[in-house]
Amino acid sequence: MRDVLYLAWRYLRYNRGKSAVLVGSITLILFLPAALQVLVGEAAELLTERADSTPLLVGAPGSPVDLTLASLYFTEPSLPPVPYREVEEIAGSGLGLAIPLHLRYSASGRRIVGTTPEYLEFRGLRVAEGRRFALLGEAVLGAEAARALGVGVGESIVSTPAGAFDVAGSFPLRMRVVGVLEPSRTPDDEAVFTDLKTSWVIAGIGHGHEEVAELEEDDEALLLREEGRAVASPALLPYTEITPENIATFHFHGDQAEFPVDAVVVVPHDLRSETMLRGRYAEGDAPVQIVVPRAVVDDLVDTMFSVRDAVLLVSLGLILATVATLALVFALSVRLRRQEIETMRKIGVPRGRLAAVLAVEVLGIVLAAIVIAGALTLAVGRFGGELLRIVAG
Amino acid sequence: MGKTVRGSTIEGHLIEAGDVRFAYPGGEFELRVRELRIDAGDRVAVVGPSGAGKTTLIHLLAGLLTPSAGRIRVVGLELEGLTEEDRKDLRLLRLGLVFQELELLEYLDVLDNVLLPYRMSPVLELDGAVRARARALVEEVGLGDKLRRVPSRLSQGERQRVAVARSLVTQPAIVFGDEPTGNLDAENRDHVAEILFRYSGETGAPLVVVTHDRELTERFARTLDVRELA
Repeated sequence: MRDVLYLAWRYLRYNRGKSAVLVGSITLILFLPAALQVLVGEAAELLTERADSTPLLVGAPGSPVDLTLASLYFTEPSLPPVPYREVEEIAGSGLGLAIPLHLRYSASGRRIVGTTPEYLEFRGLRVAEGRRFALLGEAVLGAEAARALGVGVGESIVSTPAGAFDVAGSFPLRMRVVGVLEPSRTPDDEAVFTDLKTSWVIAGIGHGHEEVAELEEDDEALLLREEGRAVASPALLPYTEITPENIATFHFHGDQAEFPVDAVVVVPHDLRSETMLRGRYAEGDAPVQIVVPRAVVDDLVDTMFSVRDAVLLVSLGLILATVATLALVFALSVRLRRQEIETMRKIGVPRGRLAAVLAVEVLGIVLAAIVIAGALTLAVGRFGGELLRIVAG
Repeated sequence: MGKTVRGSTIEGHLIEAGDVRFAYPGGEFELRVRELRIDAGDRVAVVGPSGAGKTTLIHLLAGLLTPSAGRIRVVGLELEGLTEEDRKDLRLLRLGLVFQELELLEYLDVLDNVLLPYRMSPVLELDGAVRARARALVEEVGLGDKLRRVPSRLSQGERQRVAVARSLVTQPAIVFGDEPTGNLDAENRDHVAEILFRYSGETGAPLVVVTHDRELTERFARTLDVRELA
């Protein structure tokens, strides 16, 4: 047997290019379906894990999937905002905790999550360095966001304006980083957390500027002064950074109850509270919708599994086609080696021995492919979650 | 010779053939051998014009072809009574074959090509003595410094010398050659012939060689014209 293995090894080694192509082909057809299986499993676990820890979500009517993805994974919100009044009403109902999320803006590609300190509490996010945000203009970075941006406590980050023609007044706002969170291996690692009011400032709903009444008469920022009333000109620009010196000048125009939030995470006190809350928003003409993230994600996962099954079915066809092609390649290879086989016959090599060498060559290729595909699949199983987090951003 | 093939021992002539007839399917040519005897130490040159049946004769004697009639006895074994696999055993264990077209295996180096009968035989044992003998044979054919070369890096003459070494490594009881020097220049031809003659002389194994080469034919003690065998 040792000689059979040796001869097969020498043949495969001498024809290393052909052997590598065959091993690569078989590895791919084994690895891809296996990796798909593992990755879909990982993705389903990641999705359901996050959804499981979020009892209810309230947002504008529309796609429950969009609401869920934006609230849980901080994707770009596609639904219109709901008024802050909804947060107040849920909190006032005494049925559960209401945590607002404002998700419209970003800083260097990282989503700015305008919320309340309760969000960090609710998600169990602990501060690794510094402290939680407490004042207007303060931000806390997720672990991965801090690493990727290269920003730490004491430094600052600037929000990205919504657009060059944003007439609503979304100015870039410099925020002081007061804390960095411990890694949580969730989308929270990628986010920039700030107070809800700070995100409203970014949105241009609130701002701070010099006191108009105290402007000099020749100041171009003063449009007119009459009967104890001073009117500012467009030259009066809002502050782009909130500092201890100017924080007192920051103010909001309008009714806070009408200020926008993109979603509300609702944590009911108990099952009864949850049922009541769901009933409250169940009516078809309700101005907002309430969704159970787990149910939404379960639908998503079901769809993923269906797609996976379809891909596996297609893969099965590909596997059969590849096996047929490989069989043809091996058969052609034997034909090409007819002279060698004839030489063996002439010198008296037994048919069984010759067949054994040829079989071991094929087996060697298949085994190598199985080992490589297995190792790759194990690696995907080990690092698949990380890979998905990176891909999902 | 003291060797056995599946329990059979050699008795009488090393090669005996009588009333043999062979024709290729659909062909007009028929080889007839009324009587042929070859004994230990014989050096036989098989001659005749192209198409007269020289190669066919060697193939019949080596069990590569089966006659339609008659009997062939090689190293004491009636070929008629042997299965295809038994004949392979006979060739691998007892016969040395050097054919013009016998290829070396491209993926094996010189030494492994010489050792091929051992590596491909479930019966022959590849031990240190065999390896030493193989090395000595490679040295003898003048390729001692090319042990690890693959055939594509050898000249035609060198490849043929490797094939000769491979045919002798099992210490065969009979050596058959089918124009083993056909493609070689005079120097390589003499070298290959010298090796075969030396082996035959040292072991007593008969040497049966098909050749068109007059100079080579003259070195054989016995010449066999296939046209006269009928």
